[in-house]
Parts: sequence; C-alpha cells; structure tokens
Amino acid sequence: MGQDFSRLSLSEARQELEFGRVTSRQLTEACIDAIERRDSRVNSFITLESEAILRAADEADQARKAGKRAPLLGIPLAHKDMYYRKGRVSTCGSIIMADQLAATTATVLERLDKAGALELGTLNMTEFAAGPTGHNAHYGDVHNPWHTEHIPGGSSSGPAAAMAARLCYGSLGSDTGASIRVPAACCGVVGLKPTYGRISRYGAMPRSWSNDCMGPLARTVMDCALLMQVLAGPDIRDSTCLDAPVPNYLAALEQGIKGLRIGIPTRHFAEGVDDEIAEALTRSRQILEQAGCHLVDVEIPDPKLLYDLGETLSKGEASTIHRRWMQQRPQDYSDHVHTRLEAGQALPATRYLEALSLRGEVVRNFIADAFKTTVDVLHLPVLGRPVPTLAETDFHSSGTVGETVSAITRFTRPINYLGLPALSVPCGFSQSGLPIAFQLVGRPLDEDRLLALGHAYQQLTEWHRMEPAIVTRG
Amino acid sequence: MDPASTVEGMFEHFQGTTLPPGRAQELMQELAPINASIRECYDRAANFNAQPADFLSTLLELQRKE
Repeated sequence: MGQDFSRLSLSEARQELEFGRVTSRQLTEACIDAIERRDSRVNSFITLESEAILRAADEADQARKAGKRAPLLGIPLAHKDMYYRKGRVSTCGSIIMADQLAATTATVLERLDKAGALELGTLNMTEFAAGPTGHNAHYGDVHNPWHTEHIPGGSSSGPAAAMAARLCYGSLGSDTGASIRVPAACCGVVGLKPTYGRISRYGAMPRSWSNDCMGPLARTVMDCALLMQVLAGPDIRDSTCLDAPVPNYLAALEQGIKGLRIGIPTRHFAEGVDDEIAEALTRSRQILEQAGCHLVDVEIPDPKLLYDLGETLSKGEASTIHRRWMQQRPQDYSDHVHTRLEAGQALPATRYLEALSLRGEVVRNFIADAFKTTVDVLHLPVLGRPVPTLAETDFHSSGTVGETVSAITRFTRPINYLGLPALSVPCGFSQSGLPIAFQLVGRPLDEDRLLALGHAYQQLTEWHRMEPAIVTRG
Repeated sequence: MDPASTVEGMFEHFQGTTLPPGRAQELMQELAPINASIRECYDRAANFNAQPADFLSTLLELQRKE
C-alpha cells in the first residue's frame, strides 16, 4: 500500500507539491478517501464537493506545470460553514440559513482563492456558533476523533475534528469566546485566535461583532503561520480591521526564542486547574525554559470580571442579531441555542454600553498588571478540566450544562474581551487519552511571537505528530 | 435607575422581545450580579467617557515596541 498523503501536514504537503513528488489530485483524492473512511465516526463535514474539487485540483496541477506559483496552490482545505461564498449556501450550523444563497464572498475566502487553495466542502459547527461543545441538533453532533464519546469542543467543532482525523490540511474557524482554542485543545491540534481586527470578518457570519475573531486551525504551528500569511491584513470592507503591516510569519518562526520572558500565573488562571492538566502545563513550561526562555511568576487580574464583560457584549449582540428570527422562527432553533441567545434580551442597554466603553482602559490595565514591562508572553491553560463527554454537556440530559459551558470557556472568553492574540498548542494527553493544551497570550499584534514560541515548542516535542486510532488503524 | 428595572419599564422593555414575562424576570435575576459588577467597574473607571471605537486605537498603541 502506498503512502497515505492525508497524514501530511499542510507544510509537508506544500513542500511535496513544490518538489513535484505529489500532485494536487493525489492530495485531494487522499482527503476524499480519508473523509469517506473516517468521517462517519466524526461527522465533521456538512458538504463534500468531490467532483468539483477534483476538477479544481487538476487545474491547479496544470497551472503548476505552466509555471504558476502561489502559497497554497492546489492544497485542499475546508472551513467552518459560516464563510459566505456568492451563490452558495452557508448553513452556519442552522436550518434557518439552509436555503439562503450568499450575495457576497468573504474576504478570507477571496484571499485563500488568490493563494491557490482548494475548498473540499463545508465543515460542521455549533448552531450559529453559540456553544463551546460541538453539539448540533440539525446536522448531528461532531465527535472527538480521539474518543468519539467526548466533545470535540466548539463552536469550530468540524474544523478541529477534521484536522485531528486528517481529513484536510487546514481550516478556518472563528473565536468569540473559545471557539478556535477550545476545539483545538480538545482535538490535539493548533488554533490561533488573532488580535481583534487582525483578520477581516467581512462576509463571515456574525456572532458578536465586538468579540468575533477569524483564525486558522491546523496540525502544526508552522501550518498556522502559512495560513496567517495569507489571511491577515487590512480590509476596507471591515471597519474594525486594523490598519497595521503584516509581518513575515514564516520568517518569524526562525527568529529564535532565547531570552523571551514567559509569564506564569500564580493565582488566577492557575487555581482550579485539574492536577493532570497542571502537570502537563508545568512540563511544557520546563521545555520552553530549556529552550532558553525565562519563566516569570505573574499575578494576573481576576478573569471573572473580564468574563462578565465579554459575556455581556456577546449576549447583547447575539440577541440583537437573532431577535427577528427568534420571533418569527423559534421552532427552528434548538432549545440549547435558543436559551443562550435569548439572554441578551434582558440586558439593559446601559450595561452593554458600559462594557463596550470600558474596553480600552481594561486592556491597558491588564497589560500593565500582567505583562508589566518585563513579560513578553503569558502561558495559560485553555481548559482547566478534562475534555467532557457529549452526554455530560448535553442540554437535555445534563442538569449542569450552564456550569459546564462556563467552566469550558473560563480561561478563553476573558481574552476575547481584551482583544489579545492567543495560540492554543497541544502539550500532552490525559490518562483517558484526551488531548491537553496550553495557550500563549501576547500583546496586541504579537502573533509572530506566539507562533515563534509555539513552533520552537513543537520542534522539541512530538504531541502534534500523534494521531488518533481512527487514523492509524484506518 | 434603569428604565428596565421598574415594573413599567420592564413591561415596555420586553414588549418587543420573544421573552414570556416569567422568563424575562428569570433572566433579569440571572444577570443581576453581572450587571452589578459591570456598573461597579464603570463607576471606578478613570476614563468612563471613552468611546467604544477607542478600543482599536488602544490595541495599536499597546503593541510591542522593538
């Protein structure tokens, strides 16, 4: 039996294409074959466009032969089903959107198209991105490839599960409170929530305008750097997109990390973390220290207030976006999502506006307190508890789902309110065989530094190379 | 006092929503501690007249200086 190309990383696939050792058709056929063999147990894809993508792969191969070069030429990707493409349906994980053709194409899809990337199909997600578990009453729950009774994390459940199951080479997710980092952590892949405004949101489903960040999920940090190079940058069609130059993220991976000072939380973000997760975090910090970084104890402000501020913005904005549909088509929402989205209707406008206008001062104070003048990056947990099962977090069968959801997003949602970049990197496994991850949090626009640290860590560890049994045993 | 925290205000506030009266009250109670902590934080803030849009320029200002 020949090599299974679906198990290559994005960077490896790109290199093999450039050396002429593989064709885009071979990569695409490998992904389609992997989806047909494995996705019945994971349920990460909503649509698969086999014929169209094979035609596109052949065109990419011909273009390459004719001398065309582009950063992602002929590489099959797939994205959370919330990025609009003109004339196509994006379900957003909901049946409400299932018959609505998009009138425009998202900036991020245009940038990926220009870079030569192919799109295999669309990936499952939590209904309207409203939940961190990966349940979906309309398109079926997504299952964690490492242990299918456990959650894949959400709301970018399909992207994280597809990455872990080796079904495509890279993916776009979105993160409003956890939705890239938590699924990446649950599935043992890498996820980057960029600085608020680093990547355009034009043409992407809104969940909460003030918190939404678009970003990549991939198998390695280097793969995320490749995708960021294509995705980041100003966009005149998104007024919140920052007008800041885009660094060379791939070059930044080789900058070295010696002497960087990593802030380690002593109280908040450290308390209430499960023992085996705390041990994995400690080991990952030791590896970074051995690589030449300095570990510095830091007193990080209590994340509870930041959580409440972020949640207030999300509640108010999501309720505004959904009020009309919730009045006209309440039966088309799942109970769980309806409950989450209605909460903002009881929120006074004055509280919402206070949370919004406090933001600049709060992030300024946070950086002064947590980073001071001496810390470059914070090293924090993503999840403080082991990855729960789908049953434990099911709205109908669990009496504690609200608490579970809050516990899952406890360490991630505060970072969205602050608008800071955060990179989730796998760093071990629990005794039950589920992945564990840390997140690196930087100052605004410090994605290059986070990627350099994450890449250096992956050069010294093997966690990102480990594959679930559904991949290794076929 | 917020209009929505009076009985009349509550009625006005929720007329245009999908919430049944019982659920509205339940949510108000659920949100009460969060609302209180945000109000307290706002009252303590040094620059409580900041415009929401200032956040983007703050991010640019706070990026690392080489």
